[in-house]
Amino acid sequence: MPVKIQPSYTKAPKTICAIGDSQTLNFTLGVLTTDFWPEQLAVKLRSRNCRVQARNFGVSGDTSANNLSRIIQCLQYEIPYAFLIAVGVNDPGASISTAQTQSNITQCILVMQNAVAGVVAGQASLPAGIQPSTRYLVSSDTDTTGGAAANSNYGQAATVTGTLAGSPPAIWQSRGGLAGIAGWGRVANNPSLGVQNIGVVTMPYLNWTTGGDTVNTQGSTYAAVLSAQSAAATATGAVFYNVWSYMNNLISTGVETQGSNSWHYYTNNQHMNQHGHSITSDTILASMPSGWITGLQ
Amino acid sequence: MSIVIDPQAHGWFDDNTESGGVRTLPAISNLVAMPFRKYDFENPSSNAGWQEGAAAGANSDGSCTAIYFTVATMSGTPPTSGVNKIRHKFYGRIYGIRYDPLYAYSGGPLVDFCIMVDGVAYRIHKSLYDWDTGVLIANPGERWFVIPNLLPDGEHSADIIAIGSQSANIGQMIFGYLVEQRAGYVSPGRTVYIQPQGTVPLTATGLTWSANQSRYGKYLYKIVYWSSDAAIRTITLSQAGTTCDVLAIPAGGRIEWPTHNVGPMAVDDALFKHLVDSGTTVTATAWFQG
Repeated sequence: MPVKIQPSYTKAPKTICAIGDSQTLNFTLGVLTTDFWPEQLAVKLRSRNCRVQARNFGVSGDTSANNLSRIIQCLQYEIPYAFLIAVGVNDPGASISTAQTQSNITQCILVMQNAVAGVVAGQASLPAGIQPSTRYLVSSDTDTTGGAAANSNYGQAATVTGTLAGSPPAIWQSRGGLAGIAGWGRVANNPSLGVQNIGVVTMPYLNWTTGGDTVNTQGSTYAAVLSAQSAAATATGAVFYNVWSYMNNLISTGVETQGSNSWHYYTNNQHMNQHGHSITSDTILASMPSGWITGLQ
Repeated sequence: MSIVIDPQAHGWFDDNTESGGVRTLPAISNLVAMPFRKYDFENPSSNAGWQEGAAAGANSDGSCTAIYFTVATMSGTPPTSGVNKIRHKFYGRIYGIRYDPLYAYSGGPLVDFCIMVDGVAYRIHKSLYDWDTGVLIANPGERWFVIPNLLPDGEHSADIIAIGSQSANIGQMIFGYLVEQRAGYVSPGRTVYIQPQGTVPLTATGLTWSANQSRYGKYLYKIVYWSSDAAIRTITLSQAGTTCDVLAIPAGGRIEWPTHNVGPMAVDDALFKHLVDSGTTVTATAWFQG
C-alpha cells in the first residue's frame, strides 16, 4: 500500500531580492520593516501557495550609482529567483543625468543576469589573481579588441560582443593567471548564468494636495527618471513595473482620490506609508508574468 | 509497503512515487540561548544600551544582561520616527531572539519590532493574551521568536530594529538570541552579578538594585554586610512587611546573610527591604544569580 508522507518542512523558500532607496527600505518614517513592498509582495505570493521570501537591500538616500556600487550585495547569499530594482528618484538631486540613471540601472541588471563577481569602472581596473571563469562587469569598456588575445591553450577566447545601446558596459571573464596568458577577455552577455526574473519598479504617483502629480500628468523631473527606468528595462528584457501608472489608474477610476495623501505620510514627502507599499506590491503582482508565479509554487 | 526513512531527516515531501519521500532538510540540533556581550554587536544607528543586572529572573541564559532599546518620540514638522538598531554576526542555520513581549517604556504603548536576518525581515509581536480568557498576560517572562526557514551554514548577519512612535516613547527588552549548538555555540551557564548596595538605610526603603525593574524576578543568594561601628549593629530584613531575618553584626566586623541555606531567592525591590537599627556605618553588597 502506498505511504503518503506529509511534509513537516517543505523545500527551502526561493528569494526575491529587492534593491533601491528609501522607497524600498527606511527606518525613520514609521513603517515596520516587514511592511515595505518587497515584504508585502512575498506575503501576497505566499497566499498564492508560493514558497518565497523577500531579501531587502534598500538603503535610504541611495542613487542609482549607489545601488550599482553595492549591487554585488544582492548575490552574496544566493542567485535569487527574482530581482527587483526601484531606484532613480534621488538621482536628479544628486545631479545624475537620466542617461546615467538608465546606464546604472542597466548595469545593475547585467550584474544580476550574469551573476558577476564584481564591478569595475574600466577594464584596466580588473583585479589580478582572480579564479578562472570569474566574471566582472566593466562599466566603461573602451577596449576595441575585446581584451587580450585568445589563448588556445586555455581554450577561452575573448569574444567581442559590442556595446549595449546608450552605454558601454560589458562582461569580462578571468582566464587565470598562468604564465603567458592574459588574464581577462570580454565575453558575451549571458543572462542565463544569473537571475532569470528581473523587474524595474518605478516611483509612486505623488498624491499630494499641492505640488504633486495630477491625473495622467507626472512632474517633469520624475517623468524623465521614469523614462530612464523604462529604457533600462527594455534594454535588458526586464519587466517594467510602473507603479506610477498603476496609482494614476486608481485615481482615474475613482478608487483613490486625487490629492488625498492616502499613500503618503504628508504633503511634499514622497515616502509611502504602509498603504503605499501595499499598492506597490499590488502593482508588481498584477503585472508579474505567470511564469514567475508558477516557478515559485 | 514500507519505506525506509533516514532517521536524521527532519522533513520530507512526497515525490509522487509509491515508494517514498524525498529528504528535504536535515534535523535542527539543540538551540542554545546566548546573551549579548557588551562589545560584540554593532550599534550603527542607535543608543541601544547593554544592561547588566537586567531581567535576571526572566532571562533564560542566566547572564543577568539584556539589550535595552529606547526610542524617543520624535517631534517637528514633518514628524518622523526614530530608530534603534543593532547588528551582530552569528553562525549556523537557525536564529532566534528572546525578548519580553510585555515590555514598554514607562507605561507607554506596546510596539512591535522587527529583525532582519541576511536582509529578510520578520515581525516580532509584542503583547501576549491568554487564549482562553483574552486577558493580557501580566508577567509573561521570556518569549522566543525563531525564524521559520533554515539558513545555509556559515556566517550570517542579524539586525534587531526598534522603530519609534510618533506619539510616545517606546522600549524593547531583548534578553539575547538563539543559535544552534551544531554551529559550535555553548551555553554560557549561569553567572553571578554583584551589586554594591551602599549604606544600609535607617528607614524601611527597598533594596535599590535594578531600579524600576521590580517585576522581573531576581535571584538573590547572598548579601554581605560590613560595619565600621564600635558597637554591635542590627540588620532587619523583611519581605512584604514580614520580618524574615535579624542579623547582628559584630563591632567593626562583617556578616553574610546566608540565603544559600534556602537557595536563591526571588526578590522584589518594592517588597524586600533591609534596615539598620542605628547610624550610617553599615554597607552591603548583594550577589545575584542569573
